[in-house]
Amino acid sequence: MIVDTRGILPKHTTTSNNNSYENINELKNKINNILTRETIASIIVFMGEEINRNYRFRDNPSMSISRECLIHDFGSSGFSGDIYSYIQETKSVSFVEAVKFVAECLGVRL
Amino acid sequence: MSNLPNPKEFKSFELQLCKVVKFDNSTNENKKEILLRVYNAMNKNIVNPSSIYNILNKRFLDTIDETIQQKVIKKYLRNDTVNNSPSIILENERNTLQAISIHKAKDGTKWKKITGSNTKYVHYRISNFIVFVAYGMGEMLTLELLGLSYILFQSDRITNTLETNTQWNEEVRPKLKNKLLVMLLDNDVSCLSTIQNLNENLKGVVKMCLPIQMIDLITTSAFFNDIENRASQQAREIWKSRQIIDEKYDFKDFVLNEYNPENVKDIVMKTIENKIKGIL
Repeated sequence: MIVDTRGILPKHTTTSNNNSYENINELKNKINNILTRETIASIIVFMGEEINRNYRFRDNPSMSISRECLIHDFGSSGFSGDIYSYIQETKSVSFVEAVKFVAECLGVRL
Repeated sequence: MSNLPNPKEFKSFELQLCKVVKFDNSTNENKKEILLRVYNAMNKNIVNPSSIYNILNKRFLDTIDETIQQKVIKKYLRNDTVNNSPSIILENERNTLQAISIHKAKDGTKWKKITGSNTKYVHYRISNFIVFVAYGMGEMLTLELLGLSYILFQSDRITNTLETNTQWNEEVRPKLKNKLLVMLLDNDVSCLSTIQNLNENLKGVVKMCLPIQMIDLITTSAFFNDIENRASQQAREIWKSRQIIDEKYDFKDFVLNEYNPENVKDIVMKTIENKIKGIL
């Protein structure tokens, strides 16, 4: 039996939504091209944390920014990720919001 | 984005990184205090000028101008009454104490560093085109007395970590620009390994890094009076190949054993010339 599902099933992600996902990734890639350890430290300090000259978090010395621009906590939380996942985790925002925030800080546009 | 600050304010934001927390702050302070205490005690002791003969022999020192000897002794030599030995102090350009080395400690160790000494400190005197690498305190003293420019590595291991040595990068390396760096190599493997380290670190900075082994100096000395080059290249090679040099034989040993110590400076310069020409 063939069931006509037109008009019943919800519309799934359209082409425009796909485009925005690709755009965010493109924006993220553009940002990554200019990201440095120092830039990441700047953003994190701008957000209210304190970082020392060895790129370790002052309140959690087991957490640091690596040369590969990743943030690792070798202590209790075990967090490991990039600046976007750090922002998502600490500020409870979405991935898109995190990328847009970093882009606006650094003046990066598509 | 209510939890996040206004990104438009980021441009005017000035990054300030806080100081690194040194967990063993107190230990570091104690070590520096020890060093300073020893330094102050040594400064009160009378320095017997002849104590320099424990480091360099009278034959060589008699060829050095008295004024220069006094100047070097006053600047570097101290009397360690605890170990009953002369000691060398190293201070930087700002006269800040960096290291104290005891010539012969009670336990027999030579050039023992006092606790708190900065072993990575690279002492230098760079005023000529040719700059020598001294691999020890005795060599440094010799080069000072000869009036030659030098950089001093308190140990060969320092050359392994030159990239992260702040004092080297900020003070010493810039001063070596376009200089001819001559490495007076001790006769041991550890010293030979410094050639590559220095070549890599100073690429594009110095004019040239020229390694000179002790056998080169000895050969130049042996044929020093052969001004007309009567001895053939082959004869020199054969003579050179027959020489047996002790391990750890260094520039200081060469100077102290040289038959005519007044020729030391000329022998060194002649060796450099022959090395560059490819004769040695």
